[in-house]
Amino acid sequence: MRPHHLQWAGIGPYPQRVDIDFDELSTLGLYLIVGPTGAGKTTIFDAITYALFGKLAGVRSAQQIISDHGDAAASEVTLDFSHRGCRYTVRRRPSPSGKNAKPNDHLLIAHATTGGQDREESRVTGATRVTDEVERILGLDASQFNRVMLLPQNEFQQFLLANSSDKEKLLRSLFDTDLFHRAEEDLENVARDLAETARVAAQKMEIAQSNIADLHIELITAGLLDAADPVGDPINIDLPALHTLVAEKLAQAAAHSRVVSEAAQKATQERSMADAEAQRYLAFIELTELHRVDADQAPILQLNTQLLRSHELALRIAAEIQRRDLAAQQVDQASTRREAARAAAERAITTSPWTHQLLTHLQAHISAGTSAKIATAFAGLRSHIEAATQRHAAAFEAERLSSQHRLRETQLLTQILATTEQHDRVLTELSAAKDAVNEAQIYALEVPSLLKAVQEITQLEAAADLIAPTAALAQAETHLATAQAVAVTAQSALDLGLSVRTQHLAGDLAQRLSTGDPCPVCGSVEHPSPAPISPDAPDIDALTFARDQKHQERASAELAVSRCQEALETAQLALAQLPPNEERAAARNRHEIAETSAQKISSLTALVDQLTESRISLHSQIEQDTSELTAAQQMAEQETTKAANYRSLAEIPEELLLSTATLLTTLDDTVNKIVEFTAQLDAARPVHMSATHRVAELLSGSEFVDEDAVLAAVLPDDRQIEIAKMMETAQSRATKIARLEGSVGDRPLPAQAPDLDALSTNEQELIRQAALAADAATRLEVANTKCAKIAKTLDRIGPEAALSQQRATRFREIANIARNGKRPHFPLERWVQRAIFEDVCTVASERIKVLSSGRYLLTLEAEQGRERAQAGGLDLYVTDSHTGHTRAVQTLSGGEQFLTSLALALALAEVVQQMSGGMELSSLFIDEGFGSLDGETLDTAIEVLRALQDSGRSVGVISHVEAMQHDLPVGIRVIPGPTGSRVTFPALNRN
Amino acid sequence: MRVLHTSDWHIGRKFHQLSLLEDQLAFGEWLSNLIRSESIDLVLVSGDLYDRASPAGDAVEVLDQIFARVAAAGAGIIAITGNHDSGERLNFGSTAMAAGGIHLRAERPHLFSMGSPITFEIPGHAPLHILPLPYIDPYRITDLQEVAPQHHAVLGSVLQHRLSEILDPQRTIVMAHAFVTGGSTSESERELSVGGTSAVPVDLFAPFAYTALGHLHRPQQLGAGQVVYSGSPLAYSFSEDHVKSVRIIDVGAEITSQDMPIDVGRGVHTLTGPLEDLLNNSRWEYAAQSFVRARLTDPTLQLGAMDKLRSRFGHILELEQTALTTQGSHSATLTREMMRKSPGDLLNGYLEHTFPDLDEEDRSLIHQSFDRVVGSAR
Repeated sequence: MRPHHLQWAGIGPYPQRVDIDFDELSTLGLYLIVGPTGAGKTTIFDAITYALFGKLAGVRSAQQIISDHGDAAASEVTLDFSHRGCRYTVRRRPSPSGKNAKPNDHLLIAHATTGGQDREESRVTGATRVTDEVERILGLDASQFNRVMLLPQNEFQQFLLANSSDKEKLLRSLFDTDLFHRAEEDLENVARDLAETARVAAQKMEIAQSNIADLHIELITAGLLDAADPVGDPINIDLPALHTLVAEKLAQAAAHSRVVSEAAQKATQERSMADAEAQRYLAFIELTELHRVDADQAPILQLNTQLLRSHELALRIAAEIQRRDLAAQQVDQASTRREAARAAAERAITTSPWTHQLLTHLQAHISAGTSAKIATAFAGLRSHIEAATQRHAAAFEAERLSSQHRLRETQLLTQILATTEQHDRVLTELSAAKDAVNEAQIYALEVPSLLKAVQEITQLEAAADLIAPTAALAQAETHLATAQAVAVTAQSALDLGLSVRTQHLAGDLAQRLSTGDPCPVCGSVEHPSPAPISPDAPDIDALTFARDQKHQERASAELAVSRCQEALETAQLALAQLPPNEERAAARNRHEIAETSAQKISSLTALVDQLTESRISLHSQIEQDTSELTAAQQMAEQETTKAANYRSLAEIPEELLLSTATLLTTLDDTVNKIVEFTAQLDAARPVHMSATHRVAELLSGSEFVDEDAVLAAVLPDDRQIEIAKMMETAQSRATKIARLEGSVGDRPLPAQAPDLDALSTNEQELIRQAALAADAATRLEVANTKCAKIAKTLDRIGPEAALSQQRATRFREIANIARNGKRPHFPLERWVQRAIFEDVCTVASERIKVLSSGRYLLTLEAEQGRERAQAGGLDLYVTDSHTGHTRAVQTLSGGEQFLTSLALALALAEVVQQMSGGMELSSLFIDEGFGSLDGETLDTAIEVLRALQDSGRSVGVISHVEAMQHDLPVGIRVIPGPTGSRVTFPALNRN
Repeated sequence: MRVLHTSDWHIGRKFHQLSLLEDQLAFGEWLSNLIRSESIDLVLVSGDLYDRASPAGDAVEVLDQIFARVAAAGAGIIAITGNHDSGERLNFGSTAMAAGGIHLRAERPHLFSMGSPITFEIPGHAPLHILPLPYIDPYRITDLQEVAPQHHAVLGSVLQHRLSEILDPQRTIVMAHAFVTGGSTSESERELSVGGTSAVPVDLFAPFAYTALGHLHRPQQLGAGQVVYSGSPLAYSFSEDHVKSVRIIDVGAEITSQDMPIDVGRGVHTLTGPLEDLLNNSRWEYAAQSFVRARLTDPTLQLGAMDKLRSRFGHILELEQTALTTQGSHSATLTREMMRKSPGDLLNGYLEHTFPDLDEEDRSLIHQSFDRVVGSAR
C-alpha cells in the first residue's frame, strides 16, 4: 500500500485545507516529521487511518477527528493510494453528530489505468461498505494497518520488555490469533459433547439392567415365577438364567391352555343346539294365534277395497269437468276484449281529420276482416305517413341550406367592395413610389461630379492656411539671429587664437636667441626686449574647425528662413483662389442631398416591389371572391327548387302531420289488441270443445248417474288413511305367518323346552378357565420376548458405552492441554503466537546482528537452568556472543533495548505484511522514541532507517531530536499558531 | 610554501562507547610538532571537525586546544564544515577569527554566499588561492531556485559561480567535503545520499592544481592524482585497518604532494579463528595493543569468550561467534516461506508438536472443530 496524496479540511487542529503529497515526500527517501507536542503530527496518520477505515486506531471515536476550528460540517478527508498496481481514491466526510450521513459522504473509487489515462472503474459508497471494501483490498483492519504503517517506537520498547500475557494481547490483535483462542474453546465444547455422549451410553446400560429387575418382579407378582427360582441376586438379575426359566414356563403354560380351550369349545356347541330347539317351540305357539286373527278380518277388508276403487274413478271425472269450465270462461273473456278494441279503432278512424283511401280500406277490414288483413292494411298506412314525414324533413333541410348560401352571398359582396377599395389605394402608392425611384436615379448620376467639386474646395482650404507657415518663419528667423551671433563669436575666437600663436612663436624664437645672433625677424643682433614666453600655444586647427562649423550652421539657418518665406507665399496665393463661403457651403449641400438620394434608391426599389406584390395579391383575391359569389347564388336557387319538389311529393299537408301521428299511435295500440285477442279466442275454443266431449264419454261408461253422483263418491282424507292402514296390517301379518311357518319346519316339535340355564353355567366356567391359561401363556411369551430384546440391547450398547467413555477421557485431556497447556506443552493460541513470534524474532535478529556488530541473537528460548523454563512462552532473550550465555532482554542497556525494539517493530510490521498475503507497505512512519539515545546509538538508529529507505521504502520519522534535524531532511513541519496549526514542507522548498 | 591537508577529525567520536578524545588530542600534539619540523605554513581541514552537529563540551575543548597548538606552531588554518558539522554553530565568531589567521568556512543557508576564495600570501612567494567549499545539504538551502536539490548539483553550481573569481587555477587549491566518484568507503562514514545521487564527478575538479577532499576515511588519490582524500587521523571503524596519514603539499613553480604517516592512536585489527588459537597462538601478538574485533569460528558457542580474550587483547571491542551468527541467517530464508502458513498449517504444526501420537479419530474431531471455528469467523 502506497499513499500518494492526502488532503483534508476541517480536521484536527488545522483550520485550513491541508494537502500532503507523499509522492513528492517519498523522493526524499528518509525524512522527518517535526513539530511541537500537541501541534497535530499524529493527525496526519489519524487522517490516513480515518480515510481508509472510517475510524481511528485505538478506542477513540471517529468524531474526534473533526476540527475544533472552522466549519465542522465541511470536514472532509481524501486519500489517493495504490495497492498491488491498482489505484484508489477514498473520501470521507465525517458528520459531527455521526448521524444524518449521506451515502456519498463515504466514497471509494477504484481507478483503471489505460494508456496512461486514469478512469473510474468502480465505486462503493456508504460508510460500512467502504470500510469493508478497504479491508478486503488491504487484507488488514484498522488496528493492524496502524501497527504496520505507524510504528510507535515507545510502545514497542514496552512491548519488548512486557511479560508474555501482555504480549499475547498485541500479538492477538496483530495476527488475529483470536481464531485459535476460539478454537481452544471449541475443543472444550467438543470434549463436553463427548463426555455427554459417554454419559448417555452409561445411562442406557443402567436402564437395561433395571428393566430386567422390573420384569423379574412382574413375573413373580403375576405368580408366573417363584421368588425362589435361581436367577441371581434381585438387583443384578442374571439375564440368561431368567431367559431360560421363562422359556420353560412358557412351554408348560401353552400346553395347559390348549386342553382347557378345547373343553370350553365343546360346552359351547351343546348349549347352542339346545337354544335352537327352544326357539322353534315358541314360534309354533305364535303361528297358531296369527291364523285365527286373519280369519276374523277377511270380510271387512273386501268392502273397503270396493269403496276405494269408486273413489278413484270419481276423482278422474271431476278433473275433466273442471278443465271444461275453465276453457268456457276463457272464450267469453277474449271475445269481450276483442270487441272493445275494435270499437276503439273505428272511433279513431272516424274522428281523424285526414281522410284517405287507405284509412277507409283499414276500417273495412277492422269491422269485417281477419287479423292478417288488418295488420297488412295498417302497415301500408303507416309507411305512407312516414314517407310523407321524411319528405317534409328533406324539404326543410333544403330550405335551410338555401338561406345559408344567401347569407354567404351578402358577405362576399361586402368583402369584394372592401378589397377593391384597398386595391385602388395600393395602385396610387405604387405610382408615387415609382416616381421617387426615377428621381433618386437622376440624383445618383450627379454624385461623382459633385464629390469632385467638394474635394477641390477642401484641398484649397487646406492650402490656404497661413498660421503654420507664419509661425515657422518666425522660429527660423530667431534661429538665424542666434547662428549669426555664434558665427561672429567663433570668428573672434579664431582671430584671438591667431594673434596668441604669433605671440607664442615670437616668445619661442626669442628664447633661442642669444646676444650676437641676428634675430630672424628683425635681424638685430641685439635683443633689448625679447618677446616674453606665452604659456600655451592655442589650437588653431580646432578654432578654425569651430568657426567653419558655425558658419555652416548659419548658412543652413538662412536657407531655412528662405524656405519658410516661400511656404507663406504659396499659402497666400491659395487663399486668393478660394471661392466665397456661401458658394462652398452650397456645393457641399448639393453633394450631400445627391448622396442621400442615391442611398435611398435601394429602399425605394424594395418598396415598389413590395407594393406591386401586394397589388397582385389583392387583385387575385377579388377574382376569387367574385367566382365564389356566383357559385353561392346558383346553389341557393337549386336548394329552393329541391324544397318545393319535396313538399309536393309529401301528399299529406304539413299541418296535418301531427294529428296523423296521433292517429297512428292510437291505431297501433288497438290493432295490436284486436290481433292478440283473436288469437286467444282461437286457442280457447277447441279446448272447451274437447273437455265437454270427454266428460260426457266418462259418465256414460261409469256406475255414476250424473255429475253430482261423481262428486259424492269422492272419499274424505281421514277415511282414505284408515282404509290404507287396515290393508297394511293385513299384509304384514301375512308376511309374519310365512316366516314362522319356515322356522317351525316339518320336524316334530319337542314335548317341552330344554334346560338352558344349566348348560350355560357349565359353558361359562370352562371359558373362564381357558382365558386364564391363555393369559399366563401370553405373559410368559411377552416376558420371553423382552428377555431376548434386552439381551440384544446389552450386546449392542455395552461395548459402545465403554468405548465412548474412553474417548471422552482422552479428548478431555487434549482439550485441556490445548486450552490451559501442560508443561512442557503450550496452549494452542500461545503455541501459534510463539510460532509466529519466532518468525518475528528471526527477522528481527537479522537486523540486531548488524546493529550489535554480531554480538546478539534474539530468541524465545531461555537458557536451560538459568531462567524459569519457558515461563510464558513469549518472553524474549538474547544470546550474547561475548559471554556465550542467553539472558533476558531486560538486561540490555537502554541504547541496546532501543535498537532491539526498533528491529522488533520493523520485523513485526514485515511479518504482518507477509501474513496478510504480502501486503507491500512502501511508506512507513516511525513515531518518537529517539530522544533518549546517545550520539553513537542515534547514528546506528539512523543507519537502520537508511537501510529501510534503501529497500525502496519511504520512511517518515516523527521526532523532536534536534540532531536528527541536522542529519535528515525535514519533510513535514507542523507549526502551531493562535488560530490552529498549519503544515509546511521545508525540504521540498515549498512552504 | 608548504601546505598540510587533513580532514575528518570527528572530535568527540566514540568507538564502541569508548571516548577517543585523548587520542585526538595526541594527534593535535603530533600535528603541531610536524608543523614545526616540516615548516608548514598553512593547514587545510576538509570538514567533519566534530562528530556531531551539537558537540559535547569536552569535544569543543579538545578542538580549541588543537587549533591553539597549530596556531602557536606558526601555521594558518583554513577549515570547512562537513556533513557532521553544524554550519550555524561553527560559523560563530569566524569573521573575528579570520583576523587571527583561522578561517572557518561554514555551510550557510544562502547558496552563493559560500565559497568565496581566500588568497594566502607570505613574503617571497607568489600568492596561493584557496577555494573553500563546505558540505552543502540542499535541503537546508533556502534559495535553490533552478538548482536541483542534489548534493553534486549544489556543489557544482557554487563552484561554477566562483569560477570567474579564480585568476589562476594552477595556483588554486579547492577544499570540499564530498563523495567523489571512484572513492572507496569505510564503515564509519555517514552516507551522503540525501536527495538521491550522492557522488560528485571527479572531472569537476580537473582544472585545479590540487583538491583537498574530506569525507572518506581512507587516504586516496583520484583523477590524475591531484584530487586527494587525506583520510581521517584515527581509525573509527574496524574496516579502517590501513595506515592513517596527512598530506603535505609543496607549492613552488609546480604543486607536488606526499603522504605523511601519523604515528599516534591505536590501530584496528580483525582476528578470525577458533578461541583457543586466538588465546594462545603467538601470531596474534601484533594486535595486543590494538582495538580488536574477534571472529570465533568454533562450531559451538564459547562461554565467557569475551573475558578470556580481554586478558590477552586489552582493547578488544567486538566479538562475533560464527556459531551464533550462522544460526540466525540459516533460518532467515525458511522464514519467508513459513510466514505464509495458513491457520490450518499452524494447527497441524501444533498437533504434531504437542500430540505426536494423536488418534486418527481425535485428529478428525479437532479438524472438524477448527473448520467450524474458521467458518464462523468468515
